Amino acid sequence: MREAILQAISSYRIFFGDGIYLTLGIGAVTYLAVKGKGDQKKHFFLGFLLLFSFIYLCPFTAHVIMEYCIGKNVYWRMFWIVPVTVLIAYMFASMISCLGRKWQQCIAIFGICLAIMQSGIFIYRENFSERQNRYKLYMEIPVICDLIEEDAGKYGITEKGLIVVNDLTAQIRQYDASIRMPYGRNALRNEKISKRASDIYAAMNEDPLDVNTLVVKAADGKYQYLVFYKEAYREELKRAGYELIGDVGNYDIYRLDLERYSNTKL
Amino acid sequence: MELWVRSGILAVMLGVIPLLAGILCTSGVEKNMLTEGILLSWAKGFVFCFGLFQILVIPCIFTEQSLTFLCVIYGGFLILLCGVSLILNWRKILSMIKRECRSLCHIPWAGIIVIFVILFQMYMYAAYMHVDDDDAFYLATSTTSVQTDTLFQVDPYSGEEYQAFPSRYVLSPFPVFIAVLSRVSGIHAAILAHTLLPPVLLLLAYVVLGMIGYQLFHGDRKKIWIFVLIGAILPMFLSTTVYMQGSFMLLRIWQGKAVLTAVLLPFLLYCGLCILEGHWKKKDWILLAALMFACCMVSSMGIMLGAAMLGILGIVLAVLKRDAALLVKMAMCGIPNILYTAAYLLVLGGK
Repeated sequence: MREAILQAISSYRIFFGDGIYLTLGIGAVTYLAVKGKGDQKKHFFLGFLLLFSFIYLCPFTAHVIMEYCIGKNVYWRMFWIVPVTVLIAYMFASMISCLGRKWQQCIAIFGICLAIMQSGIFIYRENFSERQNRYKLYMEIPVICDLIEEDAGKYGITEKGLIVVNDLTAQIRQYDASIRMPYGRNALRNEKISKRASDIYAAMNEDPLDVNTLVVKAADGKYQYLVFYKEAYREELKRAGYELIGDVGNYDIYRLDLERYSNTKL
Repeated sequence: MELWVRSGILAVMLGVIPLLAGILCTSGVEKNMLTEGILLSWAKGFVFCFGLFQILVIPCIFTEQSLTFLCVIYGGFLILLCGVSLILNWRKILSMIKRECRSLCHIPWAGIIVIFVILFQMYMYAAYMHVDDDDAFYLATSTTSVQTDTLFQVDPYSGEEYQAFPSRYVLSPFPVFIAVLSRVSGIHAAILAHTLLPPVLLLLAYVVLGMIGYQLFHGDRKKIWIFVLIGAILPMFLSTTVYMQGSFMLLRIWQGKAVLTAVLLPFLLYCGLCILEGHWKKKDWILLAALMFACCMVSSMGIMLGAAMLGILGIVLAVLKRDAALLVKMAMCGIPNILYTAAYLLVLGGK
């Protein structure tokens, strides 16, 4: 139960961070509390917040929610229930509306917006980038997948299997789900994957690259294609049976001769 | 299929169909809500479409139907709903459109700024890119569903068949909703999710915010526009952590949990305010039930958070209105959440 309380407090800090959002939220609640009597909305919001706070902080309910409902690592998602933005906007809109003249309201709106902009961080500054293609995936993804599709067509490969470096793992199957892979983001997050997938993942992330394990496991799983960093281990991969069929950006694309390894087991 | 045809199909699926479904299901266009009629109906229609989807998709998943089958069934129901709506309400729709066009000439200056801010945010979604690793599962699930014509039969990470249903996600198949849109419109799921759907969902989020403002300020348009303006500026500058509602709304609204936090939970608040202000009719209980189905559909978080918020609202409103029956009615609307929780724990093993 004590852990539940500590996790609840930690989640609250994670959610609100260091900005003035929480301060404004508290200000809005205070404004609501001291607002005119008999306003049903005041009682509605205050009652809501009180009940939410009880559920959030009560060790018993917190424990139940963390263990059986949403998980303790994402307990901060409980704050999605709380309409903080609505309360802050309601406070400001109410205060501005109390000003008698239109020019006063204009200045107030302008001032509040400016104050909000100055005290925060423009969300688009670091979170968005130029799009690299119409799918909004990394530039290499459609090129790699289309190249593999074309190559597979030429050689009569009906079931395409692909192993890629970690950078690209998350996006290949967002573009082309006909390509099989031994693992996806689940391997990067240390989630449970098959033995073969685990061996391939380990081989790909060895330094130096464990070409022998990689090639045998790739053949075993029928993952004919490989994408690796440009000009890295080219000779070793060539000796192991990989043929370089193209390159894009910082990556080389290979095809493995599966026949060579059809009877080999590691 | 030509691009303009695909875009037209998408516009119908995301614009016309929710609007017609919403008009059918709203309580009627009251005089003081005429100019909010179209947007209000559209938003309510979206909730109904989500709710209907959830009711249909779960049996389809568990009986291992194809995506095509689901598209046909869901499409059939929607066409039926829209057909009935058109037949019953075509005069009402025409007068709503006329009034809406007339009201566009009387938008206050605050409203013009709001429209500019919202259009800017929509433009950012359409023109720029934000990479989110959760797409490795969600968007890959959509693409997998389209390309294999299956529903949660194939692991989106590997392309291999699932040995068992992914219990955490199978009851909240929002990626399958995107797959349906992709399949019917012919637009790749990645383009749909990253470029075309986010501006629509963002607009929906602000319509819901406007609806909340309408209840808070008793229809005073000037105050509502100021309220929405502040509500639009705040997330752009004060979303200082990636966990806040504003971050989810402005960075990755194409994901189910972002729809939950930006659209559906605020919609639930709107319902609570309607009950508080006495703007709630018997028909609206169906809307609330659809909303709870919709919360379950978009995210597994919605099963629990939707129920929690509904419970809190129910208790507060029952006390304020001194009406215990209200709590019972609201609890009944939460039955979908209870059922899906039971399904998760008992049938799927809670893993």
